[in-house]
Amino acid sequence: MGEPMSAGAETAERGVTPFVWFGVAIIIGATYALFMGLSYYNTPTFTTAALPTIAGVAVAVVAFLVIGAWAPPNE
Amino acid sequence: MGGSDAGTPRSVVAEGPVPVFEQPPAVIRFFDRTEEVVRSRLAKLTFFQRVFQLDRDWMTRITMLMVVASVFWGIVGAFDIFGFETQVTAFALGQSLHLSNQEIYSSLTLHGIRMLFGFAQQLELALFGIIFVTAFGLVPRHKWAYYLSVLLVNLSMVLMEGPFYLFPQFNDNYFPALGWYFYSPLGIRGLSSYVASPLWYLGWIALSVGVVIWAAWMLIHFLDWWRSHRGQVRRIPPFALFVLATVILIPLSYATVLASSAWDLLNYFGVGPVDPLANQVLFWFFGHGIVYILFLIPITAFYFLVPIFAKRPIYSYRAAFAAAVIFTILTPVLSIHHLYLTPVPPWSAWLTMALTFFIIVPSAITFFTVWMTTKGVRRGEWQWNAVTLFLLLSFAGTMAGGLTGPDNNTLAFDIDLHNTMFIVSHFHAIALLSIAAGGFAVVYAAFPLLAGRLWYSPRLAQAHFVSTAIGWSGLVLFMDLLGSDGILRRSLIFPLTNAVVSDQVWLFVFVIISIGAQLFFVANVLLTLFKGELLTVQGLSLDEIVRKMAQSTHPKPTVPISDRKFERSVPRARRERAERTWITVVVVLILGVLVTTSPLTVTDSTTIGTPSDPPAGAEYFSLVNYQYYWGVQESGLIHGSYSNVMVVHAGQWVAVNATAQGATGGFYLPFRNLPTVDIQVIPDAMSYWLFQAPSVPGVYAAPDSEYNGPWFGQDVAALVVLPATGSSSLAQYQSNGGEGDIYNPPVMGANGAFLLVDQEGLFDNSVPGPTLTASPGAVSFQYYIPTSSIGIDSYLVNVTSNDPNGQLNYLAAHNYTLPYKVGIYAINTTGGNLVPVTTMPLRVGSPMNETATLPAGVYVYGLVSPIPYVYNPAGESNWMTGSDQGDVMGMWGILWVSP
Repeated sequence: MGEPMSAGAETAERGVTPFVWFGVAIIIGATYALFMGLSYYNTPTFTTAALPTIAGVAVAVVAFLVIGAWAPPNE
Repeated sequence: MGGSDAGTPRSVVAEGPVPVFEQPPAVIRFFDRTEEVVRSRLAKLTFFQRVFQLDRDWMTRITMLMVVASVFWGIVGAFDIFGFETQVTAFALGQSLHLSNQEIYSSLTLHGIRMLFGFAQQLELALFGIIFVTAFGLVPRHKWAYYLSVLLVNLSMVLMEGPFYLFPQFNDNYFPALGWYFYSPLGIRGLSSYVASPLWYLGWIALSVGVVIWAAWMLIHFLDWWRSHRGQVRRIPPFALFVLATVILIPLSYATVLASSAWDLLNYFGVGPVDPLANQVLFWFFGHGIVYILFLIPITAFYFLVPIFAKRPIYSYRAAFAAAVIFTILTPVLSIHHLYLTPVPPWSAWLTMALTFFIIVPSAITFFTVWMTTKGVRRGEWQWNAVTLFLLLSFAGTMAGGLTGPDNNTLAFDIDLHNTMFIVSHFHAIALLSIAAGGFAVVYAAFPLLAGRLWYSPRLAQAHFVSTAIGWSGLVLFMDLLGSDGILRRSLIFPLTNAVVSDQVWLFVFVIISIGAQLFFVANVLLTLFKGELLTVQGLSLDEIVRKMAQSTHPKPTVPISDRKFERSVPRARRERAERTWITVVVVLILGVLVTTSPLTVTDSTTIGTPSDPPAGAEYFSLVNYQYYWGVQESGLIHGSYSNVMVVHAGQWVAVNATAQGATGGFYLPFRNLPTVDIQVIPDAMSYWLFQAPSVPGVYAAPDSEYNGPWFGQDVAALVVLPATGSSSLAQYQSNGGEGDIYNPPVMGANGAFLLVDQEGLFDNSVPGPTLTASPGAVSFQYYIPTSSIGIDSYLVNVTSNDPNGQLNYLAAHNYTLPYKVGIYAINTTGGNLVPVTTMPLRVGSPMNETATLPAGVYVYGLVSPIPYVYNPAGESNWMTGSDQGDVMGMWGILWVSP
């Protein structure tokens, strides 16, 4: 899919690219997921039972965005 | 669409004589002829011709049939949850329940079944089938196998609902109040208090067989394509890898539910050994597999559609291939991660936790690969139509739902989350925001091909997207907030704090928005079928056709649909280096989390599965969950035998061993200032736990955390924490919010208290009833059971009759006096049962005055032992329709007398 090759004329417009929009979607979704986990902060075992996992997810999201920004484009 | 009409019977549409030995079997010819007669007659009616595309090839026709059926089950499933949420919200707003417990929990069960299998999975099968056949240019064959599959899938939905009575009294409320899944032996005749219809199990068998036939059909066609293109094809298209993964996962997953359902059915008729633990593990191999079978809808949508709209190939084919392989290998082995509170061997819990963390890897690969596919696409090259908008929603939704998965998978954290609304929120984030959103992207991209017409209204498509995104997001958010409020999942009767009431009302609002949003979609589908512009595809590639169809959902399209020439300028090695870097980070983080959380995981799972060696002076609880109440035997500093009441001294260690009779239950003490206790309790197995009681004396609620039949609201026990020595008031308990959960009963003064019994047979909608406090000396309060509260949900009047007024007639005939005693009972901590202080007959319709002179101590008041009840409205309960009976104890509470 996406591979047939015939010439097409697209108009380059100013504005936000789909890559950025999908990045924003990632940030919104991940923020919500972290909020869900952190909303259980008042459970007595939160620090030992939950925090390592939530921290791991948070680091992964940051790494995802950083590596995505650094990676070469799909050209 | 779908190749030539391979199913058109040659004997009907004559093309010349066909040798007898080349003709299809007689039964197939009969089916062909019958179908042709029915089809040709219905095709004369415009409505049927358009909706079912009766002038098209059989593959299109059957796909439309599946789409229509899935929409039908989706609508019915939406009504199911509307009914459930209406009742729950009415309760939250202080109104009484209009439906019976059985009806309400049946609607919840059927909501899950219809949405997952009738709607989502059927739509998946329909779309994957037609896209696969179209994209690969296959000529579909084995028409009647496909029809049989569709028939069985839809028949299963009917069977699972079970039989219902039209007369002498309409009744559809026995079944199947099981939860969308079931824990054997819940529902099995002779083993469980609540008995489902055997049609429920036959429904599961029909569903399993139907879906496996579909997978076999797909596999045969894939092999057709593979054989005919051997040596010509370098690689399978990325999206097809995930279709293939689905086809492989279906038999692997459904084999287990087929086995567990057949086992249940045999048990239902008294045949074969009963092993609830093994049966449950077997079921959850399916329970996990089905999540990934459905999750492959958005995954396939991303790999199929994002490259089409980006007009460039996927970022890394090898990464996509690796993701498909890892999904396929890991999915079938993760059953145990749904059973972290179950007494399974600790090594299996730890291993499943580790493997579950590693199934993050293919998801991480997928989302990185799909995201990077869009990198380099300019704004003007991308169109935000309904297809790409739903892809975006699915992308965000998968993050929201998927990234809460690691929380559930961390065993020690799962103890806090497992039975709260957090799980429901997590599940719906995946089911709606990820799976259904991805499904809608595919529907908007494929439906015009089925209808032969472009989408009628871009505005309706936009309205559908916006309202759906708002509705689903709010719905998921408020489910989570109810979880953090402390509300149990499947909770029908719950504490009415301000936050809970507010969150429940908002949840209901977003349920209505979510349902209403789908009206835009249904309207657009109907308008498209009857008024849509005809779709012409001559000269267009498949990608261009998809873009053209999607374009009809955009009010002012500017991006050309034509393919564009694409030449790689970034070498594969550079792109794969980025992929490898990302996956390395993911694996390192997984290992880090695993190392950090493993010690607590091993400790917790060992504690559930093996008896602990408690400190000296510990209390020993021997618990049996009798489905609707707990039997308690205690030894240690306190000796006693109680129902629903567990007694311990402040700060004392407690060693628990627990089992169940009738259905799997859950022993749950949701402390907020101490580690939560939450263990699953299974018939024919023993679960263990060791915990330290709160240091503050008081009454701590112990709701049954597993759904084990439709009397859940009454199904709460209490841990009574006595002072370590002497007596103590509840002042400290009250001053810090009860040092426990919101399920703890409210505290109120005993003298002058007026305890009203509701239509569920509970004191003020609370189980246990309010904790009454008094000083030593004279104590006086009243119970009152209004005659108006006596109805089908009140277990207090155990009358089964064809007469809807049978309960009231019984009361009138017995002077409004029931054959039970209520009173005040002292907790005897040195052996024996509760010691009666006062007793009197239980009466309905007039206040009962409770008066006694009491020394300091802790007492139980009300109806303090379980009473039998049979739910049998209109006498229509039997082994075929289902039944519910059991011992219930709900009208009781604790009286705390202290200086």
